[in-house]
Amino acid sequence: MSINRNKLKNKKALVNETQSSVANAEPNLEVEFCGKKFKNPIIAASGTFGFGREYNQFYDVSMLGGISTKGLTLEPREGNVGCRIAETASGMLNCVGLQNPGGKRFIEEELPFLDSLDTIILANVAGNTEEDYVALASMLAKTSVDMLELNISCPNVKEGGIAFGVNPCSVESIVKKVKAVSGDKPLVVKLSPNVASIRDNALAAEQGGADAISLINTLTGMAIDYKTRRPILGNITGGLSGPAIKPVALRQVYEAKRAVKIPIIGMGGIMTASDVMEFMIAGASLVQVGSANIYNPMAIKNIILELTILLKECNIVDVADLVSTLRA
Amino acid sequence: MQEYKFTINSKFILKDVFELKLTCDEPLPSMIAGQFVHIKVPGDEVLLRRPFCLYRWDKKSISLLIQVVGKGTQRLAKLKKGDTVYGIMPIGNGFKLKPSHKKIALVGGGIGVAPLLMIPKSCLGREQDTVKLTENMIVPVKQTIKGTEIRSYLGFTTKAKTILSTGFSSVSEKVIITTDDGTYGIKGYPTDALKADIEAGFIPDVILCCGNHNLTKAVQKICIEHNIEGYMSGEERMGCGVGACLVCTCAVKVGGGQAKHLRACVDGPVFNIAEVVL
Repeated sequence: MSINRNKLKNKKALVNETQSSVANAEPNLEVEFCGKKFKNPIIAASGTFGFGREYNQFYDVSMLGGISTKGLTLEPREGNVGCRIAETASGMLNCVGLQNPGGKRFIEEELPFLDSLDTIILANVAGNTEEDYVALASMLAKTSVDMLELNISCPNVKEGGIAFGVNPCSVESIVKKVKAVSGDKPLVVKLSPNVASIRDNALAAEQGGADAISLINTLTGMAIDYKTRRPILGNITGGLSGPAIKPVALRQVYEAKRAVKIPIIGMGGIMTASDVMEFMIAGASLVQVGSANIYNPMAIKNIILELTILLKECNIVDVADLVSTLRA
Repeated sequence: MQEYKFTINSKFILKDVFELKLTCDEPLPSMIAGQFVHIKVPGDEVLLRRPFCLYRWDKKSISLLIQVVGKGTQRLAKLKKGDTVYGIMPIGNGFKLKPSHKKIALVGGGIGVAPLLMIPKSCLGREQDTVKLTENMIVPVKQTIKGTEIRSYLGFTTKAKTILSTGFSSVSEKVIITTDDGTYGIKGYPTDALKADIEAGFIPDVILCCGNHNLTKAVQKICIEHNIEGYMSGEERMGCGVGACLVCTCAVKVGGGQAKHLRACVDGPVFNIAEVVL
């Protein structure tokens, strides 16, 4: 409005029209990714957002770019016993162990709610065996979910999960099998940071037919109570997340981006809009926000609002212009 | 459930326990005993929120009784009158009484006695006398409503750690204090005193309990042995506090069936004690 008024009243403003409308216009947050339109580059990360219902009490979660569901398995899982969380310096360890209602109940009980939202839904697919992954992926491919996120990097289950995500050969093999049953659903492969070479694993996912990769999942860690000499976590080890892992995540996104042509969803310790921009500069087209939701249920809403302001401050008209723009 | 901005109205310190009265400009939702507030610890050092059951509530303020145990509570202990703190509430299901619950036993240990003090008011409308943290004084019950009888069994490690006994005496027909070392009240555990009363013929219709693992386990045993209905609020490390992250789960055999991992934050924190796997 103020631009229009200035335009009529001030000749100088007319001269500077292009410049001032660029500076004052709302930056474009929309990102096209694997043929899907995300209204902004921010997705709620799997395992921190349930199926969206809880956070919808705090704000309209349709404002999100997307939601990655709690990790799903073919059969329901009760998860690990004992303590599942430990606070660490600038982060947290968890060992939930993929507690989830299973594919069938997800489709019956949770998907209708997710369908009612105006945001992109990524179904996070986990499992014990290749057969389980394939069966669940083919079941979900026939539903209204927008994309599949193949979770071969959960560090908290004894069989499956990360077992498929460490060796590049097994990454390629499982991606190929799941891709074959994914139908028209773009397949994102979520990579583990607990590997010898993130480049090799990113390449293996690409060669297996992944449409995109997401990284990083949590770093394996542990916490000990010195008084009792016992591990704090019931599972002894757990996955480290939060701001503590951001430098590792940025480095791996950067390395992966240089290895593959498929687009990347970056994550690991994102707390602020500037963190989002850093991940995009490193090579991520989209990002996921995880632990920040646990610290503050309004976190993603705040980050999205903050991102618009920050982009304006940096004179960036389209958020996608940030991707892979790391300077020498 | 929403986030409220609170101002520290008063603070009272007793060694490693402190009381915070938090006032809010907005009208507060009504809350019952056992429900909790998920407090954002000020500063950047502690990222996870900390859950605290209320021990007093009114439309303008809540009061918390906090024991200093780690980094989060140490930081909260530094709060001063006039400081701001944010908290999400109301969370959880809380303690409830049925009309058939006439004889009520409250069993608490240590800081776990705090949420129990709200039960007589939130469940039976019994008004508390002034609650003094340190005073060990037995005052007469102000009102006895609908033929109910409340007996409070409160356990502490030692006399110096005995809290809220005056408050409980103002809302209970009988208060029994136990200390581990016998420096105040009866030497032993609150469950010993409860067992003695049961043997003497006081069979509660319901036992409501809050405390550490050993205490809740001992109460569970009593409930099962004597076929008494019981509810407990335990201690679980918590993450989001809103039901999404699944880190605070307890194994609960709902309806006596197979154990399911239920969320302490929103499915609890109060569970039927006979169903919890302890």
